[in-house]
Amino acid sequence: MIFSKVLPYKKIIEQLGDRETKIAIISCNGCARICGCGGFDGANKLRFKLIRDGYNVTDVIVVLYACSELSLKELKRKIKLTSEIKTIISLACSAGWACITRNFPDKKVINATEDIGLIVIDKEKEVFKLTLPYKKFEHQAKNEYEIGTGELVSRKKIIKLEA
Amino acid sequence: MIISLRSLSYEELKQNLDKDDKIVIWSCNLCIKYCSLGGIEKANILEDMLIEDGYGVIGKEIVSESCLLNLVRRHKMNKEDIFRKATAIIVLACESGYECVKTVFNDKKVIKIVRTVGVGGLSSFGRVVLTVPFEWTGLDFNVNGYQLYRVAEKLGLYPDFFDAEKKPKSKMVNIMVNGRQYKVKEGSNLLDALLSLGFKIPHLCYQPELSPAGKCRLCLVKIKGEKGLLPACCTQVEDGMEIIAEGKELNHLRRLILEMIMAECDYKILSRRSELQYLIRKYHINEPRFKLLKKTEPIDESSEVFVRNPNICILCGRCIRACAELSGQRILAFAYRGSKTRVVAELNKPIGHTDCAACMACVDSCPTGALAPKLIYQKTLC
Repeated sequence: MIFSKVLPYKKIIEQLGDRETKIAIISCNGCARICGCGGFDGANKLRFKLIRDGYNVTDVIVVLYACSELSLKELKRKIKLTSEIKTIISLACSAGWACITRNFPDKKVINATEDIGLIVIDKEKEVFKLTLPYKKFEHQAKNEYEIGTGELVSRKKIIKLEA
Repeated sequence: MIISLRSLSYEELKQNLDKDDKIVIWSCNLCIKYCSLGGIEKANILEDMLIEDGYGVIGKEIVSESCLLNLVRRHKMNKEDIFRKATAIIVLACESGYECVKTVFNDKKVIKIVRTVGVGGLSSFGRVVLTVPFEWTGLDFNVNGYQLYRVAEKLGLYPDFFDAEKKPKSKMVNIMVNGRQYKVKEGSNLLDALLSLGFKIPHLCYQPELSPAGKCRLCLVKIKGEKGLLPACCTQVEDGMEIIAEGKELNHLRRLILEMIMAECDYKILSRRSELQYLIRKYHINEPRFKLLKKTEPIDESSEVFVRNPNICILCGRCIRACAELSGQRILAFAYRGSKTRVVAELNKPIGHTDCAACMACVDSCPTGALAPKLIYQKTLC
């Protein structure tokens, strides 16, 4: 699985246009949900923050795998996003964002997350561990994070795991 | 999706093994399957190659998601007898999956065959592309994605599986199907063999990754010398077998069985893409002749990732076997008896309140869409 983190809120709103533009949020229910940046909770968190700040978030969609074109085709078959929606915020990994961009060429797709690296998950201990980080996050290798929030765990629970 | 490419040649793999090693092939059924390096098919190929070269393969383990440490532990627990004997484990999984296997089986020789090159996605043609490569690859982010063979060429990795280097020579036997002679692999599953020969045998309860159950009875065939009809999914191929796999009588019977299956579920709300709906269309059934009075049951939406609609469940048991065999969890099971039989999670709890790992093995195996991915859509009312 891939670990992605939500960008600071300021960086997300910098990418948005004026407050009248209709916005849809597409959130991934796969890896991104585990890492705490996607899923229904992640989408809701961002939706309410944006609405509170006066942005016009009209639609929220949670799709199983945003990185699968088949999954997005199914979404497009079932849900019709109106042409009034000009911006989509992607709460998925960069591969998911790329896939959404390819599928909605007429809309501005904003990547609201940053990829950290690959992880292993231990659902019994409710943590995930960063095993293969991208270069920028090499110093965070072997760190453990809480499932569902992505918050750093101070006391490591997965032992003996070589990164 | 995690993108990996093969880094080891078959000769290099053999150098890591001893002739007296007791080998288990560990194959992940998720991303690596789409990269054509994992899943049951590749595990079977590798097993054939190793056996042909005189190595002792004592087991194959197909795992729904290898990067889930708790699932890896479960598999170890469930097949303790095999893993106790094993001395080497060949891992057909990404590097994260490999780390999990190495952690759980720290007393064994665990062999990695891939290098993970980054993250990508599945294109509409079912092809995998690499979009976010790791920095060491020297490749930049690409929205449209890189084709995997191009990446392999650039990085000096292998774009395909081991059988591209050397085709395994399995022992073949002769069988006769509908009066014609064919050669198939000895000991293979008859349904698999017939499907690979191009016969369109209907089946709902069979999935190559899972143990056969012979529940739906749609794949019944006639075999010379056998009393009655036999389910092809539960029959092994033998030399000289004479089979009638298609014909008017079998078609009539399959249609009848299909109508009975339809009577068991609310077929009118089946997903268009489900396997059952495909068969209903293929056999031109508008309405079944049979009716089974069943109470409408509530839809279970307690899971974060999938929805369970018991009203379109045909009790084929694929989800139960997937949960036990691929995820190793055994969350799902049959409960009650006769016409009241149904699939329940743990002690008849909503699925979201159980220890379900959300690995989607059950959802991927459901032939009707009774288990389907959750798609949430909310409109903000201003």
